[in-house]
Amino acid sequence: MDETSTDASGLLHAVAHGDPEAIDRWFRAEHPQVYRLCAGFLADAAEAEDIAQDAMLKLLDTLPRWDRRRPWRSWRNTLVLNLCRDRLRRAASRAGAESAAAPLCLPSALPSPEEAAQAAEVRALLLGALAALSPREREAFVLHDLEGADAAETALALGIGESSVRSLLSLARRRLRTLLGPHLAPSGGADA
Amino acid sequence: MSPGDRDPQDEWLDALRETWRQGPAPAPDRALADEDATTRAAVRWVRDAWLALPVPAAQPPRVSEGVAARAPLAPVERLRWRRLAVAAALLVALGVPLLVLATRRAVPSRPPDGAPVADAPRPAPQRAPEPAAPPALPAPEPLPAPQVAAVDADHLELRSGPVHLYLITASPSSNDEVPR
Repeated sequence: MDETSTDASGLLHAVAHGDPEAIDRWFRAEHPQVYRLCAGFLADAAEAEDIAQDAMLKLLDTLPRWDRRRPWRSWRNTLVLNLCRDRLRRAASRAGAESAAAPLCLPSALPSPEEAAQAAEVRALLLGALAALSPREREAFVLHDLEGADAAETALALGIGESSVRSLLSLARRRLRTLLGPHLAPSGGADA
Repeated sequence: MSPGDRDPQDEWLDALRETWRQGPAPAPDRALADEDATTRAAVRWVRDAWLALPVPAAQPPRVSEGVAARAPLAPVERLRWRRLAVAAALLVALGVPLLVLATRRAVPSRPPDGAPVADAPRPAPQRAPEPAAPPALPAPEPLPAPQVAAVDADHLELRSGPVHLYLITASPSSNDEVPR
């Protein structure tokens, strides 16, 4: 959802006032993004599905308290991040996410995401690769490199300095390079 | 400190500082474009896969759920406090007249020809002799505050002095459930 557009602002206003049609439209537009954020932060599809639903209700619940001076995306990302962190604090979830990296078995050549976007194999590989990162690296990587936030916005969401964000990004990219690089197809579009 | 007091090591440090100043400043934000081709390809693959991630179907919440989620207290909790407040108000309304009545009954009866104390003309400022003075009435006890005597899953007992009030609570209906 583009927070700068008047339409989006009007939609959020209507959602905050409980307009059922607006809530339906807003939910369908927002849920996929929230789910992807959760999947990125948690590196676990089942957990992400659960938390995404909670996050949508929480967003709906706290929308009237949204500070309009803050970009919607930043506010939403912080709320989703906090929910995911809460979930990860529970030892079982954290252990599950970390151990998910162990059984990751990469094929000789990764399938193209365009060809197999719906394939469970791609999803498993993606979540396995993300699970190989530390939670902090994952948060910085998801917000900055996947969601497209800049360093300042990422630092604000994570509650750390921009230099720390850069360090986390560097570590995350290096780890992904080591993990995925040898398995990328030559036509993987290195400079696409 | 005079220039003659400088330690020879300071000159080395000065030279090092100067060299550091002349070096290129660190990039403010290391963009993905600055990474090597393999790293870019890996990140791009992750991003594409992330954007193509199949999203499980989810139903938008009904409006009633959204409204309920905004309630500061769960409906069951609100209902309980509301009942408690009504019960306390009832207890005070019923208990005060009963207590006043009980206090009045405790006062010894006056002779039949005696006028009620409230209506009697005020005597002259002269003081009656001590033995003739009416016996001092016991000061009414302060009104006890309503107290919760017992709380259980299906009933609530309130007590104010001699009055006991029992409230039987019904089991919560399905409307009382809080949505996740």
